[in-house]
Amino acid sequence: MDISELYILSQAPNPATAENGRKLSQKGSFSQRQRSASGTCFWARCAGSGKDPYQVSLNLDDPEHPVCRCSCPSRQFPCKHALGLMFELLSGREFAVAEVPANLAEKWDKQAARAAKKPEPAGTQRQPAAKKPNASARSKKLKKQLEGLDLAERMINDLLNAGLATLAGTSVQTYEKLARDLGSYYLTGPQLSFSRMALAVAAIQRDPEHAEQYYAQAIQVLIALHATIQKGRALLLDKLEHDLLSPEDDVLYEALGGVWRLEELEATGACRTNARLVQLSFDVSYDEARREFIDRGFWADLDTGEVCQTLNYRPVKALKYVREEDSDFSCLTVPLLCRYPGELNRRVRWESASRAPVTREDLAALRAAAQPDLAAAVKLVKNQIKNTLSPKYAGVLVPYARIGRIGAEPVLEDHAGNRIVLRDQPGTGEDHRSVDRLTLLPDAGMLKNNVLFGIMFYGETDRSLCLHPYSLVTGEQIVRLQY
Amino acid sequence: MELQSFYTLKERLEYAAVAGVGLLDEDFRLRRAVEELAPLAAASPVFGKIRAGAEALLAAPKEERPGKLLSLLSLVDAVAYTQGRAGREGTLEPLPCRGGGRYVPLRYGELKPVLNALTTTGPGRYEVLRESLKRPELLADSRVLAALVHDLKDSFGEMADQVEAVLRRAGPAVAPLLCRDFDPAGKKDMVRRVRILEDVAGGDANDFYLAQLPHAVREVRVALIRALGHREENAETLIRLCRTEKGSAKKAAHWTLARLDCPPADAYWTELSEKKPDQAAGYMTFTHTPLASRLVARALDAWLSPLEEQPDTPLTEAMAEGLQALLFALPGKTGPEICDVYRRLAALGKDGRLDLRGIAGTDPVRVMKLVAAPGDPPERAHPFRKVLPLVLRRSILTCPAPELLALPDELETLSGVSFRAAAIAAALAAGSAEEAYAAAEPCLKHAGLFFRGKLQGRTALLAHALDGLDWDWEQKTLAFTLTWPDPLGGAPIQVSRPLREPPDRRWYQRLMALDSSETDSLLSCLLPMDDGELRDEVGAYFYQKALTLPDCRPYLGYLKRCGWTQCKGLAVRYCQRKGSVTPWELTSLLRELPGSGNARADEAEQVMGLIHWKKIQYPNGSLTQLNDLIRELRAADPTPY
Repeated sequence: MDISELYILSQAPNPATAENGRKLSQKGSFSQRQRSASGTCFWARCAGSGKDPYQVSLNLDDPEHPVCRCSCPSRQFPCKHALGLMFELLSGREFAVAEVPANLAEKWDKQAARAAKKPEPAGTQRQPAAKKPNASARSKKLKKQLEGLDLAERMINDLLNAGLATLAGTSVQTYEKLARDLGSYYLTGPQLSFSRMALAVAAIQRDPEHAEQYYAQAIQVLIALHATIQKGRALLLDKLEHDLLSPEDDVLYEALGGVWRLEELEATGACRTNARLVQLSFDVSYDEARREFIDRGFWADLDTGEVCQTLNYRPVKALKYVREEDSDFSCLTVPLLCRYPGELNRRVRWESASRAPVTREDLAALRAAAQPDLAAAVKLVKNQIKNTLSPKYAGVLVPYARIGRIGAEPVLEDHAGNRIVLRDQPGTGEDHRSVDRLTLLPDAGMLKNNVLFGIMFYGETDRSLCLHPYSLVTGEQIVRLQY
Repeated sequence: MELQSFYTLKERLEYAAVAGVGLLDEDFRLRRAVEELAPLAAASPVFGKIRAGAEALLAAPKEERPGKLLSLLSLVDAVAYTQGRAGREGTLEPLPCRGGGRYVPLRYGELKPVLNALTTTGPGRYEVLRESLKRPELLADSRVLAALVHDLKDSFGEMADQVEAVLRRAGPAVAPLLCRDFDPAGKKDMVRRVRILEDVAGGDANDFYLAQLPHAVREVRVALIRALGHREENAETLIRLCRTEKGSAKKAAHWTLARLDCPPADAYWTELSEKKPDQAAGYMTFTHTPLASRLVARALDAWLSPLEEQPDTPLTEAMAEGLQALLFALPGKTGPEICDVYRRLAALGKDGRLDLRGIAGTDPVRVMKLVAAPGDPPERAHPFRKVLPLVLRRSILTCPAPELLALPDELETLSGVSFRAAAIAAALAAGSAEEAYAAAEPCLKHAGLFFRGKLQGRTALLAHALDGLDWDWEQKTLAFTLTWPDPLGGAPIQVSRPLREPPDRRWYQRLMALDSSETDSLLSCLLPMDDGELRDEVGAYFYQKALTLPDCRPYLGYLKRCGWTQCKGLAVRYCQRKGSVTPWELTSLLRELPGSGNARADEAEQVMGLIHWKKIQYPNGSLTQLNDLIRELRAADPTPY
């Protein structure tokens, strides 16, 4: 097969590893390059810091799932040596044809046998593997969670009785400890809320002049936490009473800290087959409370017009081992698209997808998938953000007649003459500033009669709904203001 | 619907959360806000529900208050969101799209590191930028261009310099970005912006320069004044600035006006030279008009006259400074008046008489020392008799007018001082190959074993004559390059003067026969890159020389200039002679060797053998790293091994 640079980068756990692999190839670290007669298996020796060179191999029988092996001790997968071998292929180095070494052939055969035993991949007629639930353990866990909710409620009551102003005099460790305590009750959602409180405390102490802003954030956390406790308690009691053991199609499951598995998502029935997706925007942010980087991609489903999102969480502690996502400029066909519970911008996941270039027809479909007008988009977003447990923003595709300015403020106007202010969403960081980039566009014509994808949010300062522009969808391309 | 009372209640509830629900009983403001919500509550059920909730909160026992407060706040928030407006009154004006570059669909993994490097601080950023220079499409993206403009204020000077160079190469597309958010009261980044704008847009941005000038201060003002030199129509403005500005801005206005060749400028300079001839002539350094020649000649006449009339007039520091400024202004000036001035200067310095006088008031008496070009270091300062030939050489190379070409021989006769350097340069620039060789021949003779001093003098003279001579890759010929520092702090000003004919072959034979490190350096500069045969011949000479010298490193560059591809024995002999090499020394030597990667790797392997067998010392060195280097060298070589 022809290996492209993009292919190698898509296999790399992170850009740095890919770069290190490239350097190994450029440095001439590989020797004894050999390949199978079929031209799909490659192996070589790569000089490393150890006395003996590493044995690196690559099996491209299934290009979607290349099998990389290396005798190095790295925990990254694939390691830089395997990626380096791919770069050797890319740079057209000579590989001598040889018999596949017995040890490699054996390993690959075993792997193939394992794959054959494995259930068929998502998207086919597979039934989710039925895992027998342990009723007593589940019930014990529910009771523990209820205890945790009581504890969390007591903490909130204590805090509100004393007042949030006491946060300034509280030690950050107190809230960090509270957060840790909740971890013993299987309540990672509320635990996260207390971590956010700890951050608010730290911020107030660090920057007392802007304490009001952090108090407002703390209040929002408490409101959401209170709602989670109330609704969560009712749900858990109901489950305990009726002996319901499966996850429910509800955002509350995640709010309490539940983590969905693909087969559980499939079981909820909220999946789509052969979905065609085009990425509208991509960004990466850091959530200090979670101590995780979040790779977020917004996608449009060309058939339903739904805007969904992919979220890839990369814990700081495991950055080297979790693959970083990247922007995608192709049209994906996903055999089985698993959708998480939620309202607008539901989170989606898939196991495999095929790629094709985005065509004009795809772009036309994308433009047709936009909301009919601004009023419809605003209504849609309001319906979401009024729910306590929903995010206070949503990504929407909005058609516009023109984008201009009133005073210094950029404003979008739709074909019906409705307007909305374009503004960067507060708190998203410098990296997400994109309103200014509208004025960097090479062609002013892009600001007329196109479709804008952006995040609509409620602006507290002037109590109005604003739109944070992320991309413009023209007839020819998707112009990303971010990544 | 007027919702102010609703928002007041929301605010009071949030205050209650901050102050603590324990104080609710005393919160009369909250009570008042609840009362004021009555009209809204009567008008709409949802507000009625909020009011009821607020009243319930106030009436609730203390232990229930936190829960009730948060439930109420949740409801209030939901209502606030649904009441949020979307829209803006007013006339919608077009958004000014002043973007430079174009939209390139770049992946996050490609774009983010570059943007990070350009918008943050910390180590490693320069390398990222350097890497991205290899990808022109990356630097064409409008997002990257905007970040580049932002990074002109980078506190890491080298980074800002590199960014400036990249933006210069981006061309006119970057001009709108440079004008965007321009701060005329800003600092060095704004100066850089103006400099780039001058480069990419020149006079097309004249309106911008003029618009920013009234608000500009300090160095930005200087840069903007300098930018006005692209259009003659700015002459009146510049004359006004020459009269009204102070300090560096005044100088900038003068230097810029001197670049304009138009009647208003001529009138101004004529007027100034009447009052201050030295000053007017000084500003003419880079101007080559007849008026400039006249002004410089007049100023030199004013300087010479008192000394000629009263030969006993003592030399002062001010006179020495004045003469230095006028000598700087001489190159590029021609005509009978200028030739006459040269003659008078030569006569004044006859037999070194001017030098013997020294500067009055210095104890011990100090000889007046001058340099031939602005920016020359003090070690290149010479007494007057030695510097005048160098000034004439510079003058001839700047503008080889026939009357100047005849001067070296005439002045030598007149003053008794050697003008050979000027004569050789003049012959190379304007004469035939035969004439050039004839002019240089006396300096190319072997002085004999016992006349080392004489040889050094001849070599020094040759070095003066050939100063700045090198292969010009653009013009594909040997050319002299004369450099002046920009008086306004910009990039150095350069003038290139190609040789009329390639040098005679005898130059090379004679220089090789002289066999000294100084003449070898001259030989390297004199090599025509388009003459393969000659390069091979000289290369063989340099190679043999490098093998025999204790330190071959200066010759590695010469060998590369010759396109020499053999390095066998160079590193080995260097190490053997030294007996001990440091890792850094060896690595840089191996990287600098001429020839293919494999040839250098072979040489490195031999050195590694010597180290292994303890024939040479390799303190703090690692053979593994040396092995890595060998592999790298071989990998860089496409030829099989």
